[in-house]
Amino acid sequence: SDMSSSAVMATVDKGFQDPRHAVRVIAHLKRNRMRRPDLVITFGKPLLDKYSSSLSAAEVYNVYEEVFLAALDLGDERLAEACLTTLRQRFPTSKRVACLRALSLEAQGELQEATNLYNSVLEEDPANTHVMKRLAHVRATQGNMTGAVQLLVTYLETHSGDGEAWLELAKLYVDLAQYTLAAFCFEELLLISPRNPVFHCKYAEVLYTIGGPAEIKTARKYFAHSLNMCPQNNARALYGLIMCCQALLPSGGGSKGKPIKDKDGSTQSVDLLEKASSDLKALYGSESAQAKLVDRVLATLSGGS
Amino acid sequence: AARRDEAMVALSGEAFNTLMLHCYKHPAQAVNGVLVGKVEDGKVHVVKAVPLAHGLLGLAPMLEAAMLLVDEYCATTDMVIVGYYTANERQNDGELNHVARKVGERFHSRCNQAVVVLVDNTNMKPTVDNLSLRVFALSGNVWQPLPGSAVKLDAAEATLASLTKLLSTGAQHQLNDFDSHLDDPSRPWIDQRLPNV
Repeated sequence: SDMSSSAVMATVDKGFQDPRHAVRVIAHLKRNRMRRPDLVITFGKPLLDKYSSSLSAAEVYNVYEEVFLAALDLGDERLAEACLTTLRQRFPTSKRVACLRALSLEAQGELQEATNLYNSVLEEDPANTHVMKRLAHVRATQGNMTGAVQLLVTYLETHSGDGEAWLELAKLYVDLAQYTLAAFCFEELLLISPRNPVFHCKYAEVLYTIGGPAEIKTARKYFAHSLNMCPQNNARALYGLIMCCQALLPSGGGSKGKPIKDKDGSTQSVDLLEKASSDLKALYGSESAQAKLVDRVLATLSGGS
Repeated sequence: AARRDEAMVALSGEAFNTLMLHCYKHPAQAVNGVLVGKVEDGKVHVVKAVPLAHGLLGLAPMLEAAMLLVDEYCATTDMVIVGYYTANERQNDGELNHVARKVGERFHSRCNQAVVVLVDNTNMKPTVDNLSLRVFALSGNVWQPLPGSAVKLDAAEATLASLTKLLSTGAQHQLNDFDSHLDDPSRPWIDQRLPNV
């Protein structure tokens, strides 16, 4: 949760304090998928250099793995090699360590060697989903986006419940400007996680990007869904709703006193626009500079330009 | 009109450092943002860089909302939108993607000298002689890269020294873009200033 995240992050300013705290920080970063290689090294390296005896065996090797990954991120080849050597000595036949070795090859740009190593792991362990997805990543790294898409599509045919993979594929499609295919990915994600307000929002964003009154109307619905599920602090959905409403309303607004109707005759957009605008300004604090900025933008939208 | 050998684009230190910090905050993802400033005698002065997004750049609604807000912000100053900056996700990708072209064209229709700035991922240590940027201007239908001599950084040595200092204090982790502002609207965004170093 965000609260505990800021609580933990507040403790990192002073750097390494004691081994248990360091282990907690590293575990927190991993659990929350925060990519902070600088912090992993700050807390992990002293653990490995001086305090490994106060950790359990499992903890030590987890830290080696996290420090290895952080070192790759920061381009510290020496440190990465050192961690990898330790892991290979301790776990000589491990497929997990083989995958770390392949990742190291990826980082060095040895993409064909990495692919070969991944394939050999896959031969021994054909159900290894991590490797299957990594192979798609390698293709993306090589600039072969359509190849990456192909591998993910094949993977998802037999692993249609893998939300992470659907999200990866959606991102590739958006980068390729294939928005209808990206929308399909988000539809699958919504089947897997129907109560996730972020996915409702993202789906709406893709639909709006596709454009056209039918898509924008559906986008409006999904931004509204997201707000129903997560009414507090959901600025993205509020902005999305505002953008959809202003796209559906005839430009220039209506004359004073007459309710403004959508191009299809309903007054839903004008009602939703009013609600979303006031919620957004309340979120900013109605007297704030940001709220006033939003106010002026809304005025130019409804008053025409 | 600008002479051939005069810089056609001048970046303020604040703008340059802001967009660099944005890249450093999200080293594994694409980032983008809007460039705000003035045009004088055909020369573009980029005063401010306003970071927009990281990761997924190609979705319209938040991009359009952000542009409306930046436009309105500009209306209270004497500045206009003068360009767009972006960094690609992959190190070896030196192309302008469809988002950069589309946004660039839209800005160009309102400001003839609007530029698109692409960060050079292969060199993340800018120097006075190599700012690690490629600046594109629209010529007909084609985005042409400007020669290096056409791009200047205000007080280049001092700016680069302050960038080093900012990075050493982890200032990039404090930088917000519209994406992070949407996650927590109390985070300053358009009006954020870099810390004094």
